[in-house]
Amino acid sequence: MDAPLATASIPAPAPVRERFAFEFSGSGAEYFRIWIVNIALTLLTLGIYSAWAKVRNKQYFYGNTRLAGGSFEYTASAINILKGRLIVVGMFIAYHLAATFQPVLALVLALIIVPLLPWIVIKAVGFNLRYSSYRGLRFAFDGGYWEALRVYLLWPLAGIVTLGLAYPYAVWRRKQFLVTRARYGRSPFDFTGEPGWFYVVYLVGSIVYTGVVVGAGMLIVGVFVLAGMGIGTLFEGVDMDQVGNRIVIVMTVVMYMLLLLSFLCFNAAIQALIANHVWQHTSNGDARFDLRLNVLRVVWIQATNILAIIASLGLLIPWATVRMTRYRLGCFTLLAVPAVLDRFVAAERDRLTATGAEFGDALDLDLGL
Amino acid sequence: MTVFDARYYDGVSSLARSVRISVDANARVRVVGDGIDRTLARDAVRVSARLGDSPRYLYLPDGSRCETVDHDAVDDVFAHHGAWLHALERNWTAVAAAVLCTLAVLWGGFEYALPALARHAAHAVPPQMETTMGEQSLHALDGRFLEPSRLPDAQRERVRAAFDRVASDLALAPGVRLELRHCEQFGPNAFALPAGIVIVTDAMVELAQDEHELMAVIAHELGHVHHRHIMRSILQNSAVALLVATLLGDVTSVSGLAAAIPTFLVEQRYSREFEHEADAFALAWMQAQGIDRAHMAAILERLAAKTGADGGGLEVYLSTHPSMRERVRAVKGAAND
Repeated sequence: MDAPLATASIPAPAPVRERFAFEFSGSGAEYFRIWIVNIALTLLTLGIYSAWAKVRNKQYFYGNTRLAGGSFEYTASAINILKGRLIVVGMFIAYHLAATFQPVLALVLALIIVPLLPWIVIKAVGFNLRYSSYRGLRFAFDGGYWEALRVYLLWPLAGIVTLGLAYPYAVWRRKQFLVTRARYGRSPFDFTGEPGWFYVVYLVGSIVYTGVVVGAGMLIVGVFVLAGMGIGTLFEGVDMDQVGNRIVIVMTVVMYMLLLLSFLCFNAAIQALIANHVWQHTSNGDARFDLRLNVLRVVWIQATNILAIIASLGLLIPWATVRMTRYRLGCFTLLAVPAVLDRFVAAERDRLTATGAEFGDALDLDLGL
Repeated sequence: MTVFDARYYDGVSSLARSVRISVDANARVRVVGDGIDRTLARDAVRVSARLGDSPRYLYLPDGSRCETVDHDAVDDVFAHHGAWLHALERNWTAVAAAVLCTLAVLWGGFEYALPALARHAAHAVPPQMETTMGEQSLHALDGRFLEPSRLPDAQRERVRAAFDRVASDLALAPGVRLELRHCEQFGPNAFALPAGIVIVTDAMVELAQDEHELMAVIAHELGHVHHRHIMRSILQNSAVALLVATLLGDVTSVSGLAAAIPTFLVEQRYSREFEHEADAFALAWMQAQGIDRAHMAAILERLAAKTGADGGGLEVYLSTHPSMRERVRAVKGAAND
C-alpha cells in the first residue's frame, strides 16, 4: 500500500498508523433511570430543570464514549442553557401569538429572525463544540456569519429554486462548512469529500424509495380490496358502503403509519451513507477518521427502535437511543500514529475562561447538527 | 488515606499521563507520576457529578484535570454537587416513583391544569384581536375552499331567521353572525370561527329536514362560541407542542415521530371534549325552549349516514370529533332523564 520507494534518501521508516476504535459503554437500563428522573424533575419544576437534564443526558453519552483510553467531556453550564432556552421559548411564543393574531406583525418578526438564523446556527454549533472536550482540550468552531448565510440560507434556497437539483450540493456544502470550521485545540479538521457522492446517494435513494413506496402501497391496497370483497361475499346483507368506508379509514391509517415509518428508515439510510462518506474524508492533522455503517443494519435498528418506542408508549426511548449510539460508535475508528494523539495543543484563547457571559453563549439551540 | 489511579491532562496538550492520587487525613491531595508531583488542598479540587458508571473528572485550579473510574474512592473523599441525583437514579424505588410521578403530572396537566389555564387565558384575549383573527380566517377560507351560497333567497332567509332566534336568545357577544357558503369538499358541515362567525354549508341546510334540526346545529356551533373553544384550542395546542418538545427535545434520532404522535393524540382529545361541551350546550338551550331533543339526534344520525363516519373502534382516538354513535347515544340518553 504505502510501501516506501527504495531510495537512499529515506532516513527512517514512516511511523505506522494504528486503528483506534471508539467504544460506547452506556447501558439502556442505566440510562433509563437517568432519563426518567430527568423527565420527572423537569415536570415538577415546570420545565426549568430541562437545562440540567440536557447537561446530564449529554454528559452521560459523552462520558461513556471512549477513544484510546480517554473519554469525552461535556462541560456546558446548565444556567447558560436555561437562559438560551428562555430566549428561544420567548421568541417561539411571541412568533406563535403574532402568527395567530396579527399575521402582519408575524411577517415583520420573520423578517427580523431570518437574517439572524445564520448567526444563531454558528452560535449553537460553537456552543456545543466549545463545551466538548477530549483529553483536556476543547473543540471549537470558527465559522463566520457570511459563510453561514450562504450555507444555511442561499444554498438551500437554490435547492428549492432548482427543484432539488442543487439540494445534494447544499448538503455537501453544509457538511464541508461544519467540518472544516471545527478544530480540536489549535488543530483544524480537514474535509476531502466530494459533492458527486451526495448526488449519487440522493438519486439512488430517491429511486429505491419511490419503488418501495409504490410497490408496498399497491400491495396494501390489493390486500384491503380482497379483504373487503371477502367480507362482502361471506356476510350476505352487509351494507357494502359501510364496509367500504370502514376499510378506507383503516387502510388510510395503516398506509400513513407505514409511510411515516418507511420515510424515517429511508432517512436513516441516507444519513448513514452520508455520514460514512463524510467521516471517511475527514481528518485532523495526521489522524484520519473512518466510519463504516452498514445501511441495512441502520435501517433495521431504526425500524425496530420506532416500533419498540410506540409499543412501550415511549418508555423504551432510552434503550433505543443507547442501542443506536452503541452501533454507530462501534463502526467508528480513528487511524493515527499513536504518538500523534499526544501532540495536540490547546489554542491560547480557549484556555481563558470567557469573562462575562456573552449573549451568544446563552443561545444554545441544540439544532441536532 | 485514600489512593486511586487516574489519567492526568495538563489542559495545554493532549498528552495523557498515568498518575496516582492520594488524599490524606489533612485533606491534602497529592498527584504523582510521569514527571508530575503536585500537592493541593482538597477544597481547591472540583469534581464532576456522578452519572452512572461514566468516568469522573477532577478539575485542578490551573485548568489541568484527572480522569478516573474509581467512583468509590472519589465519592469517599470529595464532596460533589448532584450526589443526591445519583442516589435517586440508583434506587429502583425512586425510579418507579419517577415513572408514576411523570404519568400523574402528565395526566393531571393535560386533563385539568392546561384546559383550566387555557380557559382563563382565552377570556383575557382582547375582543379586537379576536375580531381580526375571525375576519382573517374567513377571508382565507373564502379564498381557498368556500364559495357564495347557492341556496334560493327564501331558504337563506329561513336559515337566517333560525339563526337569529337562537343567537338573540343566548345573549352572546355582539359580533356573532351567520355566513352561508357553498363547499363541495366539506359536504354537510358547520363550524365556528373566532369572534363568533358561524359558517353553515349549503349541504348542511339541505340535510336538515326542519327548522328545529337546523337550530340544533346552530346551537351546537354557538356552544363553541360561548365556550370560546377556538381560542382555547389554539392556546392548549401551542402549550402541548411546547411541552412535548421540551420533554423529548433530547431524543434526536426519533424526535419527530416521538413528539408528533402524543401531540396529535392529545390535541384530538381536547377537540372531542369541546364537541361534547358544544352538544351539551345545544341540548340545554333546546330544553329551555321546549324543543324535542330528538331533533338533534335525528340530524346527527342523518349526518353519520351521509358521511359514513359512524366511528367506533380505534379510529375514535384519531378523530377530532367523538363517534356519532356516542354523540347520538349521549343526546338520546339526556332526553330520557
